[in-house]
Amino acid sequence: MSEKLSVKISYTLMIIITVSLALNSALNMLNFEKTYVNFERQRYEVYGQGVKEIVDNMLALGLTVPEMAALREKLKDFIAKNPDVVSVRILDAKNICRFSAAREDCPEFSQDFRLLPPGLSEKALGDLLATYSYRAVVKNFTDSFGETGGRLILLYDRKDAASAFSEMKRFLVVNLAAIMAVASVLGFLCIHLITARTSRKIRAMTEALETGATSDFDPADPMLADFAAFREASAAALKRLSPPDAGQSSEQT
Amino acid sequence: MTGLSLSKKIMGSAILLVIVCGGVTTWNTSREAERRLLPVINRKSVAVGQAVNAVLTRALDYGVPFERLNGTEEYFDKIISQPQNRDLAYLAVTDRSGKILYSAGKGLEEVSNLFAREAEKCNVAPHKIYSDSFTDNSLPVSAGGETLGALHLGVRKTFVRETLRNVLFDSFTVMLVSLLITFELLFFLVTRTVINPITDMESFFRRGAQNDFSSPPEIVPVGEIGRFTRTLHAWVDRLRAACEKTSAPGINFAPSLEAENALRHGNLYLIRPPLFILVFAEAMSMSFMPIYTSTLVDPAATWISREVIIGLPISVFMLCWGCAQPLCGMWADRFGIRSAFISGSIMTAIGLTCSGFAHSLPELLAYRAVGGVGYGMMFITSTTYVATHTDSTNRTRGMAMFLSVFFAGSLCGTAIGSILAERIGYANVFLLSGSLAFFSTFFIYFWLSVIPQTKRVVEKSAPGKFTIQMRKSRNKYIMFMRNLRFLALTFLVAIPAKMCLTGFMNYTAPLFLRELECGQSSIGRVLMTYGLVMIVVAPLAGRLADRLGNRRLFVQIGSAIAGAGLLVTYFLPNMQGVMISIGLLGLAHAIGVPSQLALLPEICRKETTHFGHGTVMGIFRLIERTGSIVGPLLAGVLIASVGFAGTFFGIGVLTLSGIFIFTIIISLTESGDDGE
Repeated sequence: MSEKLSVKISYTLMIIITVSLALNSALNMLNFEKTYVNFERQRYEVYGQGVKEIVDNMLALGLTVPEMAALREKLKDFIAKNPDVVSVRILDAKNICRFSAAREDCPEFSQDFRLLPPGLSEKALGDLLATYSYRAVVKNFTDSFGETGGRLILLYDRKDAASAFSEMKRFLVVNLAAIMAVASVLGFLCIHLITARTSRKIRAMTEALETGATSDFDPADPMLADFAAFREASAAALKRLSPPDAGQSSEQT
Repeated sequence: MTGLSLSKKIMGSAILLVIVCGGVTTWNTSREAERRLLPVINRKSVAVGQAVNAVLTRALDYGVPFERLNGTEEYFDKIISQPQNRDLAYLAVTDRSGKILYSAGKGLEEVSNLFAREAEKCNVAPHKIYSDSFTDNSLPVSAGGETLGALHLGVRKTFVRETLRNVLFDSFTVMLVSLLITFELLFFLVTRTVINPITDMESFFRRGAQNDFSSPPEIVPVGEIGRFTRTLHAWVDRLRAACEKTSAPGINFAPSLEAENALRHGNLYLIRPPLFILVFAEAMSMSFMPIYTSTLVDPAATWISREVIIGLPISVFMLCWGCAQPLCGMWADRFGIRSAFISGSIMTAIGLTCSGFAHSLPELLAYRAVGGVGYGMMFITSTTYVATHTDSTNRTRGMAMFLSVFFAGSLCGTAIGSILAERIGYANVFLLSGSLAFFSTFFIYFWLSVIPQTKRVVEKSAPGKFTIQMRKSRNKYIMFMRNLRFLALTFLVAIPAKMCLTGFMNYTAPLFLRELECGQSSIGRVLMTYGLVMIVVAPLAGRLADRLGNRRLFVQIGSAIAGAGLLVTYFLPNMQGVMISIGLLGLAHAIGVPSQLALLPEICRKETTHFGHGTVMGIFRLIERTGSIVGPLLAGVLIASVGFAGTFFGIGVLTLSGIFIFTIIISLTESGDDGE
């Protein structure tokens, strides 16, 4: 650790700036993630809305979900048309999965949806069904009596978002490092320039006390003028108090 | 003087560097985020387009002619007005030549000529057209294998920027907080390592020139100044040794009063960092306390209105804070400031940490009570520290420093706490604030061992002395209660001012803003306006009041602004309205509150002569604090009975009526002796 005051002040300044910028970047990252996930979810909700409208229309005609055999083909078409969607399931009013379709590369889920807690909002259910690899969008079907006649569960990949997040993180880290590098140099230079004159003065005063050398101190500088007066008075006192030979040696050492 | 000018330069350059770095980071990040979010928004708008296209295709497949798709514009209007489609500026269907057949939304005049120019491309496959303000996503509309035209969806280019506006606000808030933190920490470091040693040196040189070598500057552990102070001490030691051998008339080594005072005044800054950290920690939960409490209240299980109960934790905290102060003052006198501060910060830390884990309202109340006692202890200890490290020449400046640190900590804590609460949850913010409060304990314990243990010898009570004291104390209160002007200032001005602060700002405003569906960060930003205005206006108002001398006028103006400020939210019930009200409340308190204290000796001349200024101030403060306790409860009752608008109106009118009656009483009793 350097003894220099300017270095110590620069260190402190850099630590504060780093913490502040890191906090700023972390908040930006969190906001970016939130906004990204929000728009992505909205997109898949639009996809799900199409299926929901079909099922709602059939429910309005008096059919129940298990009776909607045509859905099987429609879901396959839906998956084929929307390759970003991983899987889509249609549950009946008792949360039993009646129809489903999934992308070929998607593993089969054997989830028992009957255990889904009642009373949760669509968004909360979506968050509950999300996994490490997939996010979920849930849409409730409304029958002709205005009651929930079943549910749509649509899963989509987190991969896109994950890669966007890691790229953004990399950008933030690089940005932070670059700004910190420039700030460190600038900060150190600034502090060094500001403290240089005072440091010089203090070094000169130290030298004057250590070596006993009588340097010419600038009388226009109040601190140096005060020091010169102090040095003179104290040296005179020391000379007065010490025996003649000792006094001489003390002046020279 | 060298030290001061040096520190100003260091602080100035540090602040400039923080601003530049923060600005560049925010600018870069928002640009990058915008770039990365645009494709996601476009993909979403294409999905909407596909859904709309499917509906159009279905109608066309049923045989409806392309030119007679009745109700299309209404359907488009409905889609654009949906909250999730705020990104869409317009929807339009064009024929094969690019002529608009159906449209809804704004901005089509800018792009309509582009539709005609790019028609061929749009009719073949999904296509993008870029104009100055929009990104147009087009999809071909076809029926029976024949392309009939194109569907256009316009996404506003500014939409991402608007979405990211909150991010920008957060970044600026963080930057502002960073500035204040930078200022506090650097101030501590620079004062400790530069200003104080250099000032001490200069003073020592001047005294040394007169053969007074007492109290050389303390040895600084680092840097050139450290080396110099060590050398200087060695030099003085040589001189002292020589002096001990020979008698030296006229040479002084015994510590002088001037040097001791200088050292004491110089150590005033030591209280700044722990005070800042503790106030910061406590303020972190300020913006969401009522909202957090509402999550713990079971509406069915109580017989008191829910709104009143939500205000209880704030009231309990204020009550314990107020009650703890006199007791803790005695503790500080008996056991020393350092131990009292440490105890206070530990209690605050426990209160804060446990509040995050509270499972029920009684638990939360208990933890807030512990926190309140700790905070009161810290508060009185800090003021005692300022009082013992200043004298009549610099006490006002010391108190101004105390208040500036208090409001800076409060501002930073509120802002950062609200931003973090939105992202990491209330419990984690409590945990973090508890940790910070603990950190302030370590700061005092390890770093600031120089804080003197100012123990005062406590007089032992003689038998029967207690009864006499009680009687004296009762007489004292009776004397105060007879002073109409004191009662007017306390009950009509000071208590309403505190009620505005806790009832409106700490309690009603966060709940109202949540009702308006404002995010937690926005709530924090609105609340921090108070601290910001206080920091900026209070010193200016104080200087102006000192110059003009008419304290009563400042009290009247302050209260009138506070009352009128609350009415702003009544007439403008939105986030901007609340922000203006809180800003005006800050302005009102910056103008009025210091003048209340200055006016007190003027209207209590007899009591001040009789009991002393401290006692008068103490009694005033104690009664005034009831306003802080009653504020949230009164606001709760008002919200439950007349709603938010009625509450703003009620508290505003109460404050205005108070100052009106105060003015009348003071005018009528002007010629009387102390208002009796």
